[in-house]
Amino acid sequence: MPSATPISDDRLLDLLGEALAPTVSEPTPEGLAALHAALAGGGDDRGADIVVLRAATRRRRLGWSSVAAAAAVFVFVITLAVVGGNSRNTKLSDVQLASEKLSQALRSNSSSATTAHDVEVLVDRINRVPPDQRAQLGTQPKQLLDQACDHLSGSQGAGPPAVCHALPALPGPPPHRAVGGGPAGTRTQGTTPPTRATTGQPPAGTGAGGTGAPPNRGASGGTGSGVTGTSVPAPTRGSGSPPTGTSGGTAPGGGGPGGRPPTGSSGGTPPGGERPGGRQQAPGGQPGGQPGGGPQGGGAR
Amino acid sequence: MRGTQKDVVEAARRGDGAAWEALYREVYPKLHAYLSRRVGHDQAEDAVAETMSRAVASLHRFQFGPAGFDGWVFGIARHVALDHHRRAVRRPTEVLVGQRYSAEVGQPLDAVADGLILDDDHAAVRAAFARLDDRDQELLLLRVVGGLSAEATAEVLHKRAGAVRTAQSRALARLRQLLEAHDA
Repeated sequence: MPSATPISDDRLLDLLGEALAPTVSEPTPEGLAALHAALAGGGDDRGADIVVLRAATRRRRLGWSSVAAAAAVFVFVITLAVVGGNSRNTKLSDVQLASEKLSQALRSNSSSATTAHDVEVLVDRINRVPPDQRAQLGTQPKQLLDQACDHLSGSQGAGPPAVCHALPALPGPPPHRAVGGGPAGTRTQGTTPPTRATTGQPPAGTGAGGTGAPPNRGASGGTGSGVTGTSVPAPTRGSGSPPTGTSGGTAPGGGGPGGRPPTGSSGGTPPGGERPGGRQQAPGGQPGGQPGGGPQGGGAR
Repeated sequence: MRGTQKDVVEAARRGDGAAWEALYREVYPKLHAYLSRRVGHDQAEDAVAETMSRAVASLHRFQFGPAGFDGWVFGIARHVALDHHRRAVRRPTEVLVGQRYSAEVGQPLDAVADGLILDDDHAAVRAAFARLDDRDQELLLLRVVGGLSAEATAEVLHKRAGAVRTAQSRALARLRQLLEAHDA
């Protein structure tokens, strides 16, 4: 390109533009097809057919698939939890409904048949609740069942249904102090002092004819004579453990030989006593029998 | 024109295939010319397709700025070319092929060696252009082939517009020297 004078920038740009001008003007059909394929592909993975992007695209796809799998597992677990929770809640609600029905039947003095039916229904609903979840039911069902069974046993009807003799294990109301216990029983020499007692060690002796009410029914105790019953410390309670409950401690006249006092609702069966209207027979007891354990509330306190 | 292109871009953003095709046809010649000199003539078609694929995938992130749609697409094409060269470095045989074509602006070396093209003024310019360093070539390609403004070129190259103008002036000076040396 011979020239005597330097080429200006504008002229040089023009020359350059002409020299480097595009040699093609129309996209090829393959190019258009690739464009439409990219449009049809959608998402950020479009262009995955390009060699340069292939490695990165594979990594990204792997990541998304992993995330998708993790999300699926998460959703599955959540679904199981929700379904399980709903099932649990349904069972608890069924118990609640049955309890309300029974309560209504008791309040309205329904017929024995109706009440017995409601008792059976409530027991059935309770039995459907797994034992480890029955604590969530509260104390109302047990109170209702006890009340209904007591009611049915005292009525003129056919008597309490069979389920009353095999009620499911349920949490009872919190034990409270027995008041109005009957006359003290005769104490005899005890044999096993409490091993952990530090204060207030109970006098040794067996509570003959304990007269108090069971710990969880202490308010209704105190009417028994305590004469005929001979309190024999329960073998399983004679280990001398300190009392753990608040019940049964203050009633006079009770007392096994340092035996562990009743602990909560499970310790309510007095040795040698029979609960009023109760279903658990204690040999030789009288209604209102005082629990035999731990006459002074246990030495641990 | 800008407003029209903006409308077309908005339609493309909504997934309008016809709008995409219109944009593709509009930018294709410049894009092909640019990429022919960046990755080689035989690789240009694939590079254009890849550029448009990336554009389709990321149009939702595009916002009109000083560079406009063309500047945005050329920015993508620039990265496509850079990726091509990185891949070529890992494949020595492709480096050789790429160098052969990028050095002589898409013309086969055999023809250059025959001296059949250098007789032409444009061929002389292309030969001189091929001797510029990579930065000068890229800047001049964006300005001349891509038709981008100094501001748009600055956005593509991540520089200031003033720096682009200065670099362009220096690149043209070097190109002029090469042409004069060729004439001499």
